[in-house]
Amino acid sequence: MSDKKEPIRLITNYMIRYFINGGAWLCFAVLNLFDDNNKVLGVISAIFLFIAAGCSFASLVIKSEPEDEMGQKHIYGAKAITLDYLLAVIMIIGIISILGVNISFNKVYPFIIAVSHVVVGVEFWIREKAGI
Amino acid sequence: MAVLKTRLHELRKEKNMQQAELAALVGVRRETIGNLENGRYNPSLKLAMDIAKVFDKTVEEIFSFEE
Repeated sequence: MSDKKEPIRLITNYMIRYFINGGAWLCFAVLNLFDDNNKVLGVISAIFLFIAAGCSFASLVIKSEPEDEMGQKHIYGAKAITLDYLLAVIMIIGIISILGVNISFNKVYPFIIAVSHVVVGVEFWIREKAGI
Repeated sequence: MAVLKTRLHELRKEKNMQQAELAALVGVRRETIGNLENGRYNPSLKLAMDIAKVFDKTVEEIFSFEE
């Protein structure tokens, strides 16, 4: 039996880097909406941030299949559509804030990071499965 | 709209070759070969030529467009 470890699939790597990472950011973002002085929530929030950082780091160091031309096309497509969504969201937040609603950047930015990661992951997965 | 048709599956079966083997020979993932065979991915010219070389055929003999 060979001891050589099989590299993980590219889609798995990107799910860790974008989808799970984004999910951890989303959990952090939701907890961040609650009381800032609650120590338990602070610890749980820190754990989610640690998971997010771990996902980013792990996806870079884990041996994975190399990105081929289809993978590149799909991840570039996923990132491009995510940028469009992100610009739309930032524009809407800007319009709402111009209308006089006070939006705390501290509360909003984790949602933006979370959604931008999750959408890249989902869009990549859809492209890989549907072969767009 | 023109649809890319491919004889990849047929040629691969003739050579008794797995998708993973062909993928390794042309330097792509197995999923890419699968999507190519199902007509869900249009290959680059380089990939099409690499595949043609493996089967000792011309690109036109493997890939064609159908209206």
